[in-house]
Amino acid sequence: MKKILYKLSATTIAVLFTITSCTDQLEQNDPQALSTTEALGTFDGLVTALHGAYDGLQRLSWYGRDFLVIPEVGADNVYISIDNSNRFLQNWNYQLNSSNTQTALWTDAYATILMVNNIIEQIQVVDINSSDQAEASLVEGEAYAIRALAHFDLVRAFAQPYTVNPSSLGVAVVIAPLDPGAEPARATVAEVYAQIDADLAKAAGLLDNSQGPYRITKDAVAAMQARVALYKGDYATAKLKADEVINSGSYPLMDAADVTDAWTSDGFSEEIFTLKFLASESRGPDNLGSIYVPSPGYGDIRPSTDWRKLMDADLDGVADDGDVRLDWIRLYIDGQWYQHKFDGADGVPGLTSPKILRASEMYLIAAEAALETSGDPVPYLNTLRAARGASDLISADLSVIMDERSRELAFEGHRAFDLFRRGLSATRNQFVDAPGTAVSGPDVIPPNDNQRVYPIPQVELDVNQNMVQNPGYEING
Amino acid sequence: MRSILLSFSILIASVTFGYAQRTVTGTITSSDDATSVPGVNILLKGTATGTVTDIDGNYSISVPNDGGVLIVSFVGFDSQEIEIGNQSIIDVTMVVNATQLSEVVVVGYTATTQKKLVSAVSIVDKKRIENIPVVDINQIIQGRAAGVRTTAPSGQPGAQQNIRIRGTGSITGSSNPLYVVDGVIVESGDVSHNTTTMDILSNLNPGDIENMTILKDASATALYGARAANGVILITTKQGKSGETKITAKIAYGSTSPLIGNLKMMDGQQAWDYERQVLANSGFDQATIDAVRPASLLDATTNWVDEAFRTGHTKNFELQASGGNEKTQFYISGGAFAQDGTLIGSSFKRYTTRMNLKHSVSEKLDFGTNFNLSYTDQLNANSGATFSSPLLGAFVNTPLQSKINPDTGELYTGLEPDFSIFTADNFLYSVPRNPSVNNTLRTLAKVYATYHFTDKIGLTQNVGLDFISMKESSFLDPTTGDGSEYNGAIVNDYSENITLTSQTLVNFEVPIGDNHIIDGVAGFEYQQNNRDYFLAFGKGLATGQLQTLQSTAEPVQVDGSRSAYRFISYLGQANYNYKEKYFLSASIRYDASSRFGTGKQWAPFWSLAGGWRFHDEAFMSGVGWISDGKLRINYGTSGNAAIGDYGSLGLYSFNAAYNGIPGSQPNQIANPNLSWEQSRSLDIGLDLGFIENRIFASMDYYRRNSDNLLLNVPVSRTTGFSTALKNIGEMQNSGFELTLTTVNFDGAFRWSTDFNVAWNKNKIVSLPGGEDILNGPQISREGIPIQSFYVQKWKGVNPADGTPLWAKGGFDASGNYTGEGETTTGVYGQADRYIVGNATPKFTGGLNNAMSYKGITFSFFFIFVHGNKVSNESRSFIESDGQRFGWNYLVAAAEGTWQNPGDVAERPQPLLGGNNSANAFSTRYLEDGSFVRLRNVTLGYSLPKNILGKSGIKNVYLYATGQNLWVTTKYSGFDPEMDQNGREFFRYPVGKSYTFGVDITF
Repeated sequence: MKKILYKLSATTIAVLFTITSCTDQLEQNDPQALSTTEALGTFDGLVTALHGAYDGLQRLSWYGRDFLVIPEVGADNVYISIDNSNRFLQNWNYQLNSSNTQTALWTDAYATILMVNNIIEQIQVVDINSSDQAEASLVEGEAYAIRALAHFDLVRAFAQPYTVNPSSLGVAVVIAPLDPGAEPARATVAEVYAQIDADLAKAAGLLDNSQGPYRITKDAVAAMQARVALYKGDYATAKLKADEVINSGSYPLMDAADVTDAWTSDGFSEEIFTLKFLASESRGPDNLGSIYVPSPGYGDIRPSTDWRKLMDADLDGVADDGDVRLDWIRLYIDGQWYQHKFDGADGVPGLTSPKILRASEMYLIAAEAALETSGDPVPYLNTLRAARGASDLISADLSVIMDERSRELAFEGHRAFDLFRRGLSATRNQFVDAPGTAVSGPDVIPPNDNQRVYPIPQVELDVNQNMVQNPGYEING
Repeated sequence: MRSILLSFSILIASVTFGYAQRTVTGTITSSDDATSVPGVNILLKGTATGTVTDIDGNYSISVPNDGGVLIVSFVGFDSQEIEIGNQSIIDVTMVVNATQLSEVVVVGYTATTQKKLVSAVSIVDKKRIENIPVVDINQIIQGRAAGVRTTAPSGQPGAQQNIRIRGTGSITGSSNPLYVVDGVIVESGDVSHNTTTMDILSNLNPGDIENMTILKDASATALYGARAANGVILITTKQGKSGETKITAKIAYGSTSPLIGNLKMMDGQQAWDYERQVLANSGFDQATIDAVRPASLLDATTNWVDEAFRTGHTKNFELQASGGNEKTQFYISGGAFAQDGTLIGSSFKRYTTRMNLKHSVSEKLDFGTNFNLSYTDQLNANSGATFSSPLLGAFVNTPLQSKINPDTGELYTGLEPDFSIFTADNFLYSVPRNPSVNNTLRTLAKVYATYHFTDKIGLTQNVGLDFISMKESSFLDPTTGDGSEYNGAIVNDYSENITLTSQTLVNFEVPIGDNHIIDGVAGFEYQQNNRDYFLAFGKGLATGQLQTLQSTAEPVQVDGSRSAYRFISYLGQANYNYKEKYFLSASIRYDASSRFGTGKQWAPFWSLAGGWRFHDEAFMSGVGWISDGKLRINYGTSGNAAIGDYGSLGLYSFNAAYNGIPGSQPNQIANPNLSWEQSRSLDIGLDLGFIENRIFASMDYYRRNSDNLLLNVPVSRTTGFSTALKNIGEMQNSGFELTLTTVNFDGAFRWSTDFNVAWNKNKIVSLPGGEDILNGPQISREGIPIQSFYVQKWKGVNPADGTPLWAKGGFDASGNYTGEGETTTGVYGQADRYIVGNATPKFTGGLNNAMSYKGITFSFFFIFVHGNKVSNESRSFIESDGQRFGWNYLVAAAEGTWQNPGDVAERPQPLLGGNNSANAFSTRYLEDGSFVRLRNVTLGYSLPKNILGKSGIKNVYLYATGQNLWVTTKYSGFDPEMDQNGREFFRYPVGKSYTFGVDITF
């Protein structure tokens, strides 16, 4: 009897475990993620995915920091101190190569393009309630606008300026989700701009102005159209679009009193599109401002003497004409000037929400476009200068306008692009008061310097047989 | 094991009686553990007179008055001949045989004997494991088993260890072996979330381990099917033996000092001189140089290396009790181990208990449990890739920076404006304030019952539980560099990792006639694993004294995740032998895993093996000097399923957000075709014994082809992804292993030598589309080994202007390197990349010598690694020709620098901001990683029995052991023992240690 019991229990245990382990146990789903079709299968899913795309813009390589720093470091507004954390040196001394430079920007911009391409594709398929139709139109419009912005930033970074050679190689234009085996080639600069124009036009038709400034609105698209036209040298369109935004009256320039600390908060009247960074999104020492502001930031990148001279010719530390923009920099006890425009926000050092499109840029675009279309730039400039406590100009040529851009848009990622699209050299006449405190770098970067265009990343060339490297970066073998 | 030997020998022992004039008595003990040995044969030479020792190892034998010679023999020990003379008490210490043909070898779901073994396995027994002052049993394997290489990315106590058996078998999947503890597959590797490095096997107490068996070829691994492609490590823990209860107390104490090797950093004066030279080279005038680097900087300098490292201490206490009767046997132990790292802010403590219990209800039924509870407390040093890491700080902080703030007389926090180090962190201040702790509680339990239908057929049900509960916490003090940004922060996380295993196994043995035996196993196995994790992150602390989340002002982040996998398997093995001379073995396992795409989940794995003990053939009978000979051959398949749990799905993740609203982003391309990596391997082995097996050699040739390789294939980034996981590609490892064991002297003085060496050749056979896969300075390319370095070739310094030169060209039309037409270029971007060596050694091995005389034992053990290249990426930071100005520098950085036109210099002229990317990665920083290291020296002494007398103490063993006492290498970094990928970036170096201990047996 005992024996039989033993046999029975042993068999029971064996059978029990055989039953519990049936084959459906083999179907496991990731509890953290949804399949692509599930994630984008509803309208709410598309709204969530759109926020994912805005999050894409926030990457460190892009509007999180680097893309706003590199055009500064590559020109004459700033210099890099010899006491540095080894960041952005190659951009400063123009020792770029395809393995170490801006691979992340390339990767992140195309990742964001995939996000919006998925939205644009799925929004045609998903059933949308009539009550959601209006919002769906906005989602689609924002997706097109983000796609345009991504392509515009890519083509600015990785290709010749349109104004220099529109038929040179631009970047790959991606307007639909790609197969993993895809190896797209570079379109010409003109083709890339054509796609940007098309996407912006599409976006303008879908958007309204109900949700600014932290989301892209119809006016933001107009502002982008103004900037894109300026980069194309299409000054008539640039002026038209800039005037359109200015004349809407929705974006009065902020008061001189607000200017100094404007980047430590946001929501000022002149903001058209601001990419909101919450305190919880702090990257610590990698916040944008921390590369400029010392302790606890890095304080590597400091305003150049050239830039200070734009407002303070005698370098006495006081603006010659009461221009408040000189307050964006401060003299420290160590005798060095530091930039404090992006001092921090919400109590987080260095945190800032980049004001990607704002009205003052529209005045500058309108001024430059007016100059090029036989108009009068001076009223635009003086309106802006008055709002900054600076004295009126009597006349303005291109160099006056470029200087005004340098003052107003300082540290916001415009300078090198502005110089090179105009075929101008970046000239570092005097980047530091006392020699020995700056990392050495070239004094003049001529507009035909190959390295003013970033190299196509080696990781892309390694896998994409159709991708061609920019001149000066070719590696054989 | 010994009990099997015992019953075996009693059966075959011949007991005879003869005439005698007087009686000799004595006790036979083992040199192994000084315990008495029952069942030993005592034979009077030249007669039929003999006896066997009793259960306490005592014997009594009648001998002629004029003496004679006693032959003392026992399976597993060397036979001894002893002149009787006029002695009446003869105690004999038996020495364990060098090769033990009848020793039981655990080969997974079954056990066999060395004699019948037809596959390539290596065994590391407890003699090699005990009393070695390391945290992790994996660290003991290096050099002990042919073809097995252990490396670690860090010398942090408790750091993850990487083991490669017969080379690297996968490019992106895991290449680590499968671990099996007492028959149950367990979790291995690093399962932590926010800990720098933590090996879950560091929870096992090496003192509890009887032996480790390393399965290397398909015949042995096929039974583990889908997860065995990289080999299997079987860990068997100690079991009790029936007989007197034995209690052993082990106490050890040691100290460890850091091994900085050939690395020499500048002191304050040297750095000051060098930096002034750099400034002068860069065209600054004297006044500027004096202003930037004034002599006052020399007033308070700091040796950061000395500050970061220290002498660590190791303490170990263990109590083991074992014994039992014929029905019940037990082994119970408790242990406490503590080791301080050689780097400040790193330590490891472990507390373990184990109970292995076995009970026989009747001849038919027995059951038992192996139960192990362990708790570890690991204090982690941040890896060299973080700013607050003392590893980084030690080598990059300028010595011209005082650690003490003159204003306060206290340590700098790093945040002061006059603290000139770019990391804004003084690790001496922050490390003690910002602890990063990992606490792991692991329950490793198995219960089992076996029902013996007959003595030949048994049914076993095993249930295994592996429950890992891990708590990780990081604290950032508000006054430190990392903490100031948050005004103090606390990150706590908790994870559970539970694996349940059920095995139902039938073991059988069927004799057919007298000469044929078929035995084997058939079974079913089910394993499920569930992991849960959550994290809480709060910031804002009033004071660094309060270190719980309650004291934080506001939450920053909560996070959580969950994952699971399932394996279902059917397995079977049959072994046939004829007269223990001809052997055949076949295995099959049918495996399924939830990790792969629907329809691709099931896969069969199999092996076939044959063996021929030709020594037993008639034609060998005349060859007396050959004492054993066996030929083995086998072929089979196994798999590798070590990828993420959901690799086949196309996924959107939801960890994005914009302006406080959740966002989603694509994070994986779908691949429903994802399936196992498969490996096919062939092993041909030859075992030869000479001169009564005093020389024993095992040779193995193997070839392992891994195909369907799971590769994260880089894709064009325009797709929105960087990589996609695919089954594509094939790789081959082939090699030769030799293990040689010799007994050089035998008798009272005994000297034995173990030597092993293994050559492995890796080759990538095919890759997707034949295209190269680049990974930093390394490349995967068809026809060459994995982890080949593909970098710019350094061509020295241009004598004309002191700028760097690299190679360019030298390729034929089809892109193959010929060297013809190779020129140099001064522009890094125009330099070509070349294949210039490999991170995998050409050969590795170990050499151990063990000597004993009476109670004294002495052993020394070398390991060697030859023919691998190391990419010393740290050096490009600390020998950067001025690019990293304001850091610290290697002393060598200032040596042989270019000064004047025409100088043939070793290093470019150092310039502020660097000299034309001279420190961009090239062969300049690629070094030979070969080394020979004296891994261990141990001197032991067992107190003589007559001193112990009637104290009740059976044995006292005193020992002193030294780890890593000596090394020879050309490598310029601190430690040539490199992680598998051969890439150095401010790693935690291993230490040199001295340990003293005593084992007392009651």
